[in-house]
Amino acid sequence: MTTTVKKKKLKLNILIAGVGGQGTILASRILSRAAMLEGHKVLIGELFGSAQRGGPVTSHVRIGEGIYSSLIPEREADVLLGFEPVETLRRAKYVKPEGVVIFNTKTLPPQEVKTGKKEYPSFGITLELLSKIAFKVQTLDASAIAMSTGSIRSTNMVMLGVLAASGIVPFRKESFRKAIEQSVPKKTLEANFAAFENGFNAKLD
Amino acid sequence: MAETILDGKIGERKVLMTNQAVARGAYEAGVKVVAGYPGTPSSEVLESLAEVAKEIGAHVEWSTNEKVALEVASCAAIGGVRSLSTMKMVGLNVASDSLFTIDLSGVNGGLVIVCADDPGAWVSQNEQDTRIYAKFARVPILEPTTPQEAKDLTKVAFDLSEELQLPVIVRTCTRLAHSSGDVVLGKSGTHEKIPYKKDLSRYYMGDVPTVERLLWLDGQQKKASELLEKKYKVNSLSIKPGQKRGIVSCNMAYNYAMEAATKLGLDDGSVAVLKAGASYPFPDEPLRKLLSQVDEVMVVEETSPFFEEHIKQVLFDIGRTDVAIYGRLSGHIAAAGELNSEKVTAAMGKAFGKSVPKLSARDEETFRKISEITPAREAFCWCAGCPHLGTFYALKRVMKKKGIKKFFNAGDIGCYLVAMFPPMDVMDTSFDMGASLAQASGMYHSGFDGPVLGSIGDSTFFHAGIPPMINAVVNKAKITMIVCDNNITAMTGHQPNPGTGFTATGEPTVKVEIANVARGCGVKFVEETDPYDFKKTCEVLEKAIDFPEASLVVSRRACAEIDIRAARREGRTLPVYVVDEKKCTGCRICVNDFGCMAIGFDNATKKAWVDPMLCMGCGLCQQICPVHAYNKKAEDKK
Repeated sequence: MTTTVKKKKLKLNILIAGVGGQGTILASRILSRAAMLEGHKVLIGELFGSAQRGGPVTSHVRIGEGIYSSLIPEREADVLLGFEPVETLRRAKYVKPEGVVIFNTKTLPPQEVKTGKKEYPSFGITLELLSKIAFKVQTLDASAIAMSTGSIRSTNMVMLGVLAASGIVPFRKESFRKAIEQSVPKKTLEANFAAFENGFNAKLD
Repeated sequence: MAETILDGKIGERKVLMTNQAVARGAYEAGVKVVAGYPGTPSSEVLESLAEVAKEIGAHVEWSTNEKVALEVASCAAIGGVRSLSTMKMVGLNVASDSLFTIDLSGVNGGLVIVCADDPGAWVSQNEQDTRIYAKFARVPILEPTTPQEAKDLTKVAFDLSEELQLPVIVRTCTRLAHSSGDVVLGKSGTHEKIPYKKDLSRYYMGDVPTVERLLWLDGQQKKASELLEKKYKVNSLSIKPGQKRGIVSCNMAYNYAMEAATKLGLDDGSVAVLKAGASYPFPDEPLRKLLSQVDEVMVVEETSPFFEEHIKQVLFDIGRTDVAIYGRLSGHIAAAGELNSEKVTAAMGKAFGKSVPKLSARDEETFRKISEITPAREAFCWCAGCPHLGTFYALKRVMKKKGIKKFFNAGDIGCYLVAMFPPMDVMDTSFDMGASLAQASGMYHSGFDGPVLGSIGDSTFFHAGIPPMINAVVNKAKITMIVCDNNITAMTGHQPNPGTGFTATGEPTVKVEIANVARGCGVKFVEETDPYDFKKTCEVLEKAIDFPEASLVVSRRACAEIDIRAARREGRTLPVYVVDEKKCTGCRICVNDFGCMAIGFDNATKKAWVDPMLCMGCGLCQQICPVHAYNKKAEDKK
């Protein structure tokens, strides 16, 4: 268990951005349970794009002391964890200038793009712009890793693994694993652990 | 929600959504009857209780509308048990007739009304401030700022309600209701039923008894104030001699105010802060103390200048009209729109003369570029395969066929209101629950030169659609009523309604047939159709529009989500459609005129395509495509 002094000082803002159906909300719950297991207070603010699948979904996970608003103020997120490139761009304003952006490169084109009305921003320009407003930008194809583990629906577990290994969230791996155990049905536990491990060991670009 | 509000040990800290925390508070307070109507962002409160209704021995129901809900709950409270009613703030409008009588009769068992405001009107037709109702009805209203406080104040509300014999409102708002945080679980208590005694001096409302009860209500105000301040200590004033600046706030706005103060360096002990745990009765004791000392006060509140106006009164009473007030009336905060940390920081910075950190020109430019290249992802469009696509495209097709360019279609509140937006674009209005059918009648009687229709959903129909339907028949409005029956209350998250055949707690029950109701109310043309059967739906709609008197069409097909979830549960695969590129002429009707979100268009090949991740196999594309270029293809889904 971390010391009392360390606990008092921890103040972490993690913004999880994705598309409805990608499991961002479950990811935020697991992250917050891991935080509680480590003895921290936690506040989650959710921004539902709509009740329907396919809309933008954002979870603001705020860990530590002295937090009032459940929504992270602009430019105060330590990590912007993007499950999809355009959704990452959409929330770019939340990341600290000295913060980190980690995003999944698998694209889910919105309707405007699908119907040919607008172009999907290129990977190059996405990387370039994000690098200008954050300290570090890292990417991986989390969806491919999830698929290879068994199901694209475990993309969120892969992303959690990446977050756990990043060093930005000072929680023990065991806390994450225990939090996953508390959050998913028993029969999916092995599959979810596997996806989490693959994310944890993944190499980021 | 994987866990219920009962999971966990007493004393354990758990992450709960504020709405769940309220439900947990009601459980810990020994609630016995719960009645509400779905309304974002309040719905999860009742859902959390419905999940455990049997275990906790409570009756939990979705009522037909908020007025019914409040009347059920309030009379259960008169009957002597602790009762809860949940709704969103515009639902309180529907229930208000009841509120203004129950505050006079008073209750016996505690009655708590959970009312969720929606600053910014994200999911509502306005941004009403429920505090004004509390003042109007002269009942206490409590203001949590965190999930833990939501639980604690719900319990206080029940105790207070019994002590005053008055309903007590607990107010949440969108950001608070849907945020989650750690909450400590407490013990649940049982409460003796307070026996009901017949008493016309309380339960008959009219002439002399009413005036006497109004005087009684007046007397309860001082008692309420004292209990809230001295016994329950819900208001907290942080003040030191010498502090010349003050902040007054409550609810979610308080969180933004504290964030702003921290950001501006005002957490240095120079500012007194009043956090109101009850906004009515006004927290006058701490308010007077603060206002007597400071020279400037900033009021941070949503969504009306409720405290700000009252503060002017208090300042007058204490002879301190020299105090500067910063808030909405002063123009520091906009008259409408949701607050957030950024807005409050800017306003507070301006008020107290503190500079607000600004973006560099380089960053401004980068963010501008990001905005420019980021495509929107619609929050308001129909799911792929939504039955409403079929209903409204059929309407569009019929009007086109008949050469009718001008028609009026009054809409209502539910997923079908998306028919207003391009590309479907066949609906004129969406106001308040049940307005559609009466608005259609009104437009008809104004002499509109074209067909007049009103479109309403199944839940909305039961909520408020029956009286205007009867009205149209009896008062002779020749309108075509379309009931978009997707067999669930979809927009608010799939709650049951009188047409679904099961209750809030999942028990089977009577299924009320809309067509039968319409016939019973004298509508002479009542026909049903399946919106997935495009040809039939066009025929039925055309007949209904041509019918010389009020007509009603029930366009009935279960919400696409229901199909998808059932298939997933049962391990079935749903059919998927595919474009035959040889047939596709690139006319773009499917994307520009119809607009199913599973259909894309490739500008390079000039062909439509179907996203197999979204398609659920309704087959409408095949029917509406002029050259029938879509084919069914069974495929393993995800």
